Amino acid sequence: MNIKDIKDLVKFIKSNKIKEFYYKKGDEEFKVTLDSDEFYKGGRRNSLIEKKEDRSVQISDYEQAELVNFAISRSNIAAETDAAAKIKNERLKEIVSPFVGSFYRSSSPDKPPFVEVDSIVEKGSPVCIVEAMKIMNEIEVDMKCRIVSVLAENGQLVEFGQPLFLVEPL
Amino acid sequence: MEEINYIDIFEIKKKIKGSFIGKNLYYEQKVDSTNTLARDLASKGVKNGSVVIADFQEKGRGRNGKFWTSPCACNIYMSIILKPKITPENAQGMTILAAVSAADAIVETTSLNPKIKWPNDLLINSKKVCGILTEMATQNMTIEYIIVGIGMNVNLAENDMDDNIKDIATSLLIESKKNNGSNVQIDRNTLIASILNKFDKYYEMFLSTGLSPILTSYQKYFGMMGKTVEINVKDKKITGQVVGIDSKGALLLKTGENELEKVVSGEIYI
Repeated sequence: MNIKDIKDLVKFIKSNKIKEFYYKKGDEEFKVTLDSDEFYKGGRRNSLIEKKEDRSVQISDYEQAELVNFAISRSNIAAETDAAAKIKNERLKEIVSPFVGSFYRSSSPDKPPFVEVDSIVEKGSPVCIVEAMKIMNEIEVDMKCRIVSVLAENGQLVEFGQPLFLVEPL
Repeated sequence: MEEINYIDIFEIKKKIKGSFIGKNLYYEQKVDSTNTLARDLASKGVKNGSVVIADFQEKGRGRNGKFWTSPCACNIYMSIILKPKITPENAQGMTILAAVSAADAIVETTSLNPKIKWPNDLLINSKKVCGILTEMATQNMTIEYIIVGIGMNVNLAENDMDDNIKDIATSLLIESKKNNGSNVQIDRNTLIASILNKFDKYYEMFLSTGLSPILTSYQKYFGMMGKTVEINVKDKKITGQVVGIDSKGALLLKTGENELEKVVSGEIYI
């Protein structure tokens, strides 16, 4: 959501006399609370709104203050979300390729993949094969984990150290 | 009815000269695949250097799960279990030393001259006589075990060979007959012991000095120099002229006037 969207949202909230508004889409979320009855009763703020309505492009001082609040509130929530994601990401581990070779998700073309996203894998179980010089290297996990994402395509040539999976240790 | 000469594990033991490879031999008359049995044994903790041998394989496997025909008690199906303390990347040398060991053993036991098709198929008169499938398990970039599976057509008669592989595969017996009219069965016990003795020698060499001296032997058998080949890796096709092998065993192709491509994986068409 960009600043124009926020402005439009402010207009919408005010014109509909909404006191509380919560927005969430993907990883973007924020909450707006306008709890001052005075705001809707008139006075300086109301006059400013009217004034604004006269000059539809210009935003009132109050609205500007509100926008700043929105921005602060949004940035706080974003920071909290980032922090939560960081804590989660710190828990995640990469499984990397031990050498340059071809990445295979199954033991042969007619077999199902060793794992899918969200598979729970026991310690010592294989998750893929990387092949080079006709050495089929079955890569096993060294802890019980959940597959969070598969980072390479079946049959793709992968580099030494290239992440192949993101896993969450359990 | 023709007598079946089964593998004699005690005969092989007598001929083993090395200090390490083949000191423990496991024999089964019939297995799904020696590589599968070897993997089971490796994960149960059998000794480094142990070898699994069988007379029949019911589900012999090649690269990418391809079926390796194992019709009679006349060929070699064996798997060597290794647990070296080397990096997974360095383990790629195993495929080179396995090919050289098998080629040396054929030369020692027969009058034939095998050629290596990169990385480790053995051909005689452009037909495949031996395939090597190496499987490795790693955890956290550390090798748990390596299984070097060797399948060699030894006394397989032309009549017993599947029609769909007759144009691309052969056996030592078929080629010996073509070469000098010999119809004498090759002693598989001697040949197995010879492969294991060569492997033992090259394996120690590899661990102490690296791949370089083994590559010198590899070059002797390498039958692709100067040939134009096509390699398929996923959706990419590389065409070039073979100009050599690098220090780790990768295939070097000249793909343009001043362009060199290093190949470590892919289907090769000559």
